[in-house]
Amino acid sequence: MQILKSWIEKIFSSDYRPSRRDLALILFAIFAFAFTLRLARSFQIERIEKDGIMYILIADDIAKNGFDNAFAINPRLPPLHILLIALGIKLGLAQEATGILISVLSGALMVFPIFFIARNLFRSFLPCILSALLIAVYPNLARLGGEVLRDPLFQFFSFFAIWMIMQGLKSGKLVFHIFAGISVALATLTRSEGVEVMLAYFLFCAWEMIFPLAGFTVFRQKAKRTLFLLTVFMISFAVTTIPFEYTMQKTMSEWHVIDLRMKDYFTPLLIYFKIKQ
Amino acid sequence: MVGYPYQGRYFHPLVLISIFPASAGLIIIAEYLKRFKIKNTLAWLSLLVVIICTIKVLNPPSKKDWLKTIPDTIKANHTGNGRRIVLISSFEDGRLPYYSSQADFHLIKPLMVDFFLDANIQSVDKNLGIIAELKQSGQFLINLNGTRSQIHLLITREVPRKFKSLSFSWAKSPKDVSINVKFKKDLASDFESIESVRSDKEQIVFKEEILAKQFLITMNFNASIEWRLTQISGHSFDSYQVFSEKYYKGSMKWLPENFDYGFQSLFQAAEAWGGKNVFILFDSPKKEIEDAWTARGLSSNLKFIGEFKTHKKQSASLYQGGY
Repeated sequence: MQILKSWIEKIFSSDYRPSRRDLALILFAIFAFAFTLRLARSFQIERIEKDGIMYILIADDIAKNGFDNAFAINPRLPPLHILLIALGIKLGLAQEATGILISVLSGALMVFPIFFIARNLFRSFLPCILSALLIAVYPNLARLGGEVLRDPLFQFFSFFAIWMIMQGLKSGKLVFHIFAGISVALATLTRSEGVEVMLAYFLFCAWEMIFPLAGFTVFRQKAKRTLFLLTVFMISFAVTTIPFEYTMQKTMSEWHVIDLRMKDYFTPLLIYFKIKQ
Repeated sequence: MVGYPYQGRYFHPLVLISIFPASAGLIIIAEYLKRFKIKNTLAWLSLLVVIICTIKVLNPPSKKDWLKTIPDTIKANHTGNGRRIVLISSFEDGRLPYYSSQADFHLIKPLMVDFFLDANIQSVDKNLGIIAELKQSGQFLINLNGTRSQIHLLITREVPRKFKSLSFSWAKSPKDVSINVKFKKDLASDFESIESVRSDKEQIVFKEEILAKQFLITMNFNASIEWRLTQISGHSFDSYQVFSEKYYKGSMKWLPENFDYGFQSLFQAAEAWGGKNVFILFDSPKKEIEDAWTARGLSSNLKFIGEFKTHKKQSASLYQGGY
């Protein structure tokens, strides 16, 4: 008890700087708590969410009959979450259990990208650990983390991408940009809105180029490097998504990497200008 | 990062972003609480947050017991000699058939809803682009608002027989509204001007004899209008039809089965699809349904199984076929 008390006092003191081992232990403890909480919630659920049934039925159809007709139920659905459930069914896991396991795991894994994004935002260690803790216990996220829904997976990939983008632009290392491209692609393959994370990347790039404000020579150097990294990012995004796009075209799916419904965002503007004319 | 803001969970990315200022805010609150000479304020505060959140996670606000009770009741009453359960339901919730041993699922819908979803509304003013917006509020009402345009309303299906007439009315009465209606002779032909209707009044009514055709209404108007489809006679029970999910034009759609309208369609479906393996779930109380049968002089082939309440306190009555 005394050890626990001294540990808590240590962690919650404002000048605490943990060793790598301590940091790993703290993060693992928060992850374990998040995982347990979501798992406990999933045991309470007697009937999963309505959308979850649709994912399960499509995944089950894929596992039993292949891709041909599976997406007819909802042709606009992105494939990744459903394919993961289908993989679980193929491996002999129960339909609902697979879907729940994906949500529990990805929901609990959220603590890591959130912690490291916070590390880029705050100087102190304390708000970072609190951010991870709040993500672990936030009621609505934890509840949905025990459901068969694609939101936890989408959120995990989105925030993992943001973490990678931040690390990439901070360190300039190529590997982070490659991982950023892949994780934005995985977010897009989970929910169509995932492609919007790319906007965050473009904004970060623009910020990087413009805000040294140190004359044209520096801007040109920065711009060259940033455009190179942007190209790497886009290539890794394309390499991850194109095989899915190509495969899905042969099925009844109408899903595309860029959701064609996005044009609807601009309809009010078009109407406005047309009427103005 | 937020998609269409229809459900609370679509706002989760905003919640996730707000976690960062919230954690900083927690530290500020803890600093403030130090004034009350409490030791380890941040640790206690964090513990309090964790406990409250954990309790909230494990005690969700609405328990949808009916989604468990109804499928369990169906399974308990299923004596269909090994035949697959067929569920015909007024509630479009995939959990009901899934938990009833993956039952074959059909919907009871008043036909008008689908009738409108199938209506194709478009502007034909090429310079103006799309200006019409189709809104469906309630079962039998559409509001179509636009300005300075010509609108085509293409009705691609027969209007249900139980609706004696179809009328359009507009809220404002601009002087230069004109309506032309062209009817289709048969499915193969193009639209031909069999009958043309003009009206400068505030309402136009189509009689029963012309409703069993596809027709195209062209409306020229110069102000915002509201179109209202009016049900002249009959209760929504009379427009009931059984729908099945079928592949149609690239995706699965709810399409009507070839039964009659009203309760008769359900009696016929129960007979056609087996009998005791067929369960029908109405979104009305038993008394209301059986009074309606009596009032219409119908003899039912259904047996009452039970009445339930949804989490929104709506009545649901379950019947079994084969009697």
